[in-house]
Amino acid sequence: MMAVEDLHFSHRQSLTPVLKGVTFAAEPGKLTAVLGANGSGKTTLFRCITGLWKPQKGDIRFKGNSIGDYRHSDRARIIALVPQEHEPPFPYSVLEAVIMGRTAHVGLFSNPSRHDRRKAEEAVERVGIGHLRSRPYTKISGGERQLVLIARALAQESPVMLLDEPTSHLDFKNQILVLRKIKEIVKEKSVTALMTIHDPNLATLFSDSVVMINDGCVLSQGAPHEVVNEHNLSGLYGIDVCVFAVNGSRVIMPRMHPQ
Amino acid sequence: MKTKRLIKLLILISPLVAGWIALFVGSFHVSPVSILKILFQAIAPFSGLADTPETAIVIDIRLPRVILAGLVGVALSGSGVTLQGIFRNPLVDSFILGISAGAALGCALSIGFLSWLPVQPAAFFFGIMSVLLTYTMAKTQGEVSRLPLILSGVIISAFFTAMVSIVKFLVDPHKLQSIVFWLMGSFSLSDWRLVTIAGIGVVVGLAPVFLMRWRLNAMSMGDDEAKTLGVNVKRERIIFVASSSLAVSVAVSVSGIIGWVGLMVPHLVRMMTGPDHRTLVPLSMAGGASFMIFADTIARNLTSFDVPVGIITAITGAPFFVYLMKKGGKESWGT
Repeated sequence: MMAVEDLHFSHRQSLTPVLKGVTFAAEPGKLTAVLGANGSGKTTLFRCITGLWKPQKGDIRFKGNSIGDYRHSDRARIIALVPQEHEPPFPYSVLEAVIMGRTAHVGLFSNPSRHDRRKAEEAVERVGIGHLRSRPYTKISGGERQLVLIARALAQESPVMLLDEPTSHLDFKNQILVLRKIKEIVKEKSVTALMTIHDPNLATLFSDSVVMINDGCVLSQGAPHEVVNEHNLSGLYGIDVCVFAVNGSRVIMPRMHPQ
Repeated sequence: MKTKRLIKLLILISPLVAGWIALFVGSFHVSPVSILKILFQAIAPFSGLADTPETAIVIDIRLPRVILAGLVGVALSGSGVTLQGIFRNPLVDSFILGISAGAALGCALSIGFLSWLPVQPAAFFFGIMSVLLTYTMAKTQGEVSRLPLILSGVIISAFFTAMVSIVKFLVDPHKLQSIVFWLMGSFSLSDWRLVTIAGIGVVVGLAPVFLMRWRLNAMSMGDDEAKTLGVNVKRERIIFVASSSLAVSVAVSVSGIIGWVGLMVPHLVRMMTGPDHRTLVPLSMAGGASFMIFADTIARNLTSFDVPVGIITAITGAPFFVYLMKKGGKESWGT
């Protein structure tokens, strides 16, 4: 279990804090979605958890151990990040990109071993992009590239996986395909997965737990059927929202005012 | 896949072939076969295969020059590929952190005013000093990251280049001529002592780069991503920058400033064999060696006197580069 405890963060030379005491927990084998409007502090939260920014106060615990002060090489064995914006500088092949996930397991002066390569191969197969393995991954579609990054995080073999808006650049079909794959993997490998996502419908459909963040604070946390309601969503996004029940699942719509 | 393997193999053995050709091409004719005999004789003196007047020319004059050119090529190209990787920028070359301008000032001062100071140590120390200055300057912004480093390098280069201009302006024309000649780069002063110096510099400098080369892949994904992959970016970047700077400073001190190699060879090799630094780094080193030997062979045979090799690297490299760019298209630049 990963716990975020009372996280406070503000930028240097800035008086307004971005995170004002964020506390929540994420369970293994469950997909936890982080919902929040632009500027609510989702990205900052992720950067604090991955250790890229240092929170002024608070801690991140994994299985009871504080990992807030871990070095990147140690932290990478616990947390794997699936980044969102991604501009590959050189046209690495898919397999070369995935095997980079093994960095934390390979010695400073070594190359990846046969074992590392096998882990990367397995991850590529698991995600279902084996046929792309020697393609340059600058030349594949956005959905496929997202799968490559998920495979890379899988190869990293960290018990916690952070996904930074994995669907934001994808079309409708690929959004569903990628989220379905993520959900499968999270169950199968019993990964503690934390995902930021913009679309509350997708969050409701795929996640096991939802954390709503508004203005640097946790607005509410719980299973989707408990917390995804008109009251919370309207508070979260600051617009009128209605929620319908359709075939046992929920559909979220903005309330359209007649002109 | 198979042709790529073949290309890699050819690049790896190319320095040997280029070196062999460079040994029998020259104003004094030595046949290709007797080159092999002489080399064998030098390795195994008891064989009694060849003991001719040609031996002196090959062993004492041509061989150190070829090896020195090869070593300098390895240093420039190896550091070029390293810096391109960590700065994720195709316009970066081995001189981006100000080494060439610093070394140029060292040389200019030594020739112009400080006659007690030999050119090589002066160039070496000023080269290293310029990198340290660049690094210190980048550090004033907090954590040293990519853009401040490149910017500081540009600023330090501009500053030292201006200082070189002042020296050039003040010294008398004879000294000016030697400064200008040195700045263009040449292997005409090669001997075994310089080969030893360059050899030590290249091995000490590039050994860490060679051993850590696979990590350049993760580092080329950008600082943040490299950190989440488990790279201790700060520490490893210092190792890469320091070791490649050492190799380049030594190379510059023995040969002058030879442009283009550190920028171009890594690109050529990347276009031909792919971006994985595990193979790219050694192949760039080999490619740098053979390209430099090739350029130097042209430099000393084109006319009756030694043309500065820096001119040759630019003249021969540019068209080939344009050809590959056209053929490989934009994606081979990684954009």
